[in-house]
Amino acid sequence: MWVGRGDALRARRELGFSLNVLTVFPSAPDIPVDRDERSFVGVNDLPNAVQEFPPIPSIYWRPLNAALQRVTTIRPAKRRMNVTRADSRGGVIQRIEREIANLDRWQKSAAIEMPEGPQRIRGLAGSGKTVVLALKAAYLHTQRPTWDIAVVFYTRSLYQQFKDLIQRFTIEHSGEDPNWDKLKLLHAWGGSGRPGMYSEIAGRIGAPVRSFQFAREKFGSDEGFRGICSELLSEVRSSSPDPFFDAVLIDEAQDLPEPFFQLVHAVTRQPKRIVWAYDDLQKLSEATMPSTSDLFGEDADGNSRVELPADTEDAPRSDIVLPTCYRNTPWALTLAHALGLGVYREGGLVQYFDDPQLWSDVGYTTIKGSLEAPGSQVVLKRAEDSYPGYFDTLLKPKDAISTHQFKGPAEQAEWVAENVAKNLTEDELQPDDILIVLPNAYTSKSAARTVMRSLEKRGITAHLAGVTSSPDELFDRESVAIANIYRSKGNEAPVVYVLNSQECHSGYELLRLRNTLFTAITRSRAWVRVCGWGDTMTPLRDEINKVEESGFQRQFTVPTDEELERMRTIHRDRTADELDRIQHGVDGARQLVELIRAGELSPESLPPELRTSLAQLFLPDGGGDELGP
Amino acid sequence: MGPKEQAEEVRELLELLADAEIAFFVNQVIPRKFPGQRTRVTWPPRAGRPLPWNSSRVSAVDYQAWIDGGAYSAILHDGAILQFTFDFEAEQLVGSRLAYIPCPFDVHDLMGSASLSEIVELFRGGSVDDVELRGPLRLDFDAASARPGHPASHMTFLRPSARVAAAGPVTLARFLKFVFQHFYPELWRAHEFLREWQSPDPSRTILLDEERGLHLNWIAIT
Repeated sequence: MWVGRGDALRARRELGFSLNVLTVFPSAPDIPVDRDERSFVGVNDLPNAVQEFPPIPSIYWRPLNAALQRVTTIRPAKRRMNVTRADSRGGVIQRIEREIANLDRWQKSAAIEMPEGPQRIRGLAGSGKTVVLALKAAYLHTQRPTWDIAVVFYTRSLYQQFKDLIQRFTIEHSGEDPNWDKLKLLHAWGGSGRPGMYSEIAGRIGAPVRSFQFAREKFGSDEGFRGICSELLSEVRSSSPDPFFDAVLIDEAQDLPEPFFQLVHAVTRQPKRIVWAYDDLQKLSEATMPSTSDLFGEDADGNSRVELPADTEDAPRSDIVLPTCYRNTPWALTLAHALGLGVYREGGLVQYFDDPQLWSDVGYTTIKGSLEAPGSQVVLKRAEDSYPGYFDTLLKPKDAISTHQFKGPAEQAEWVAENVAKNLTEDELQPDDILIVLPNAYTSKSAARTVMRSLEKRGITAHLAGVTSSPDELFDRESVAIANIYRSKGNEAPVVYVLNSQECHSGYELLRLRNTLFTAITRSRAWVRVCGWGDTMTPLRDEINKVEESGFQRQFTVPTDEELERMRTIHRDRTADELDRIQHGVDGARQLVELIRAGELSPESLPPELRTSLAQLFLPDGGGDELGP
Repeated sequence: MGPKEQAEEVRELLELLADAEIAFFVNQVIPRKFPGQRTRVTWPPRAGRPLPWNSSRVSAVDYQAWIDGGAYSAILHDGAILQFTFDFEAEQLVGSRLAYIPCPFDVHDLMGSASLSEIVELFRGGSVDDVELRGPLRLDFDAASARPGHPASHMTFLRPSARVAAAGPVTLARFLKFVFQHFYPELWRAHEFLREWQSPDPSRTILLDEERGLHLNWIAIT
């Protein structure tokens, strides 16, 4: 066993504990007379034999564990040369970063277990899926160096992360660099100078590799990738090429369309070692992913191409859940869920998990009531094993989350700039420890300008990520990143400022707005500042206060099936045509109000049935029995 | 005009360009202090990014590097880059660079659909037919580098070796008017601030020998 540099395992120049060698036999061995009998033992006597050795001092347990797992750091610990105090925010995040070094048992087993067939890995954002996939890829590559393996991702900034992790893991397992001809890192699409799974497949069968512009023009911006994958799939099905991958590992699977999975299935050799990892809660209301049957489609006989067998004790698992979230504090996660679902919203829940089992899968435990009983009250809390203990030790809820309401965007910008200045000085943080999130992508440029001006006044450099620059890099060592919600996805920072949060409190497409709030808050690794302005920030602030006052528990009435259906109808994401219709309706209503207020129209002149409908809509409890004449 | 006033002028102009939606995006202006009394008024540098214009030829690769590195004061809606840099020794202007760099591709219709860098990358991976033949334009002032064949103030275009003498350092106002009057006449007509912007001209630097050849000249505003 190679323990690497092992600084933490040393006492001065010596190893901090003595090494003892024990040879274990299946049964009690015949020991040669010239050998020390304490060095040989049968497996049944192993526990007693180990007890005879002096114990390892407890200060070495953690670093020894890390060395045994061959992971000393999962990602390069940032060199925080500016940290002088352990209790500054810089000091706290430094300790958090060191604590993340060890894989937990869930991640380790998920990385090593590989069934002879497909495998699904899911968990919350921040549960370590990318690390698990990287380790799995490295492990497969070192165990099977002749295999053609692909690691696929969607967010381009993951490329460097995967490359670094796989390189480190491969060297630690085999002592050599990976063979990148056999282990390929592929963006899902690919483009100029960037290898991609789609472009790789198209190239292999001689099909045209469609550009972003083509896809956008033919299928629309939202459906472009789906469209070109469907097009390519038809060609693959008709040409039936020989598969050319032995294993494909897919990260961010929730962002990829079904035709893409079917393409991957077609080009992967039997027994179809396809591993896909996804965030359970990118969309809160539904199992994020389609079923495996929908993902991979059906064969000519109508059978699902992929089925995940039920897990058995003595076989590698096909369906793995990573229950511990390392990225977010339990309080930020609870808040994000509560706001995303609308648990304490005045109008009631906005969305709900389709499958009650999902609550415990993503780390909640029931304190009171039952999730299986629609119409009844239930109280949930984050299970203690759903988050690492260092959050409780190093942070406090009141500091981890704070909410701030301002008169207008200028005041908000000034407050943020003042606090960023404090973060960079007395808090001993660095510019790339901070992320400012703008929920509304359409107004992000103008909103960013306001904040950038306030930062500029304090000599703080900032940039709006992804509007002009490459999407591969969000952060910059010397500049504070500002990003809209789409560019923020997949990234995280110790300190996150969510601006203009009031825009996510209400409005049509409420589902999307609430999901935006969820995504924004869960970018934070330690501290999140939820900021907003104007009167519409007040009800959002009230919701957040209720979450805090509840002790970060979730209390709500389990919705009935009818209520669930109504929720889905009212708050679902809408098509452009539907939005147009809604907008026309809203404009018409606004015009009506203006006419009445201006005295050009009296309410009495409205058709009676319209007056009745309008009156009923705004009565409490649906009204109906207390109408006026 | 000293560094503080120059920074304010640049900021004010960038705000107007952004408000009028002439600029797709404008950068910050954070004066940087150097040893001695030197101050540079320009966009904030990003970690590890080299300054532009280091190579002897400029290509789409450089354009993309400038975009990725935030090396611009503003980006216009057709992807053209404006770069404003002013160097001061105490309150004295000792150098300036005002550059207009058109985008190598026609990206106007795609602006905002993805990051500009992504859009450019897509074009770079496409057909050479998409390349628009238009070169950058730079107006430089550097008294310390002046020598025969290298006027203290000059305009560079097409090739780095092409330095057409200018009467003196070109101000932001003159640069603004030159670019918009000639390259964006419709915007020039539509926005008064582009036509009316004023900055006092620094002292002339052109030499008699340089005046004998083709050069840029104007009637100074004091």
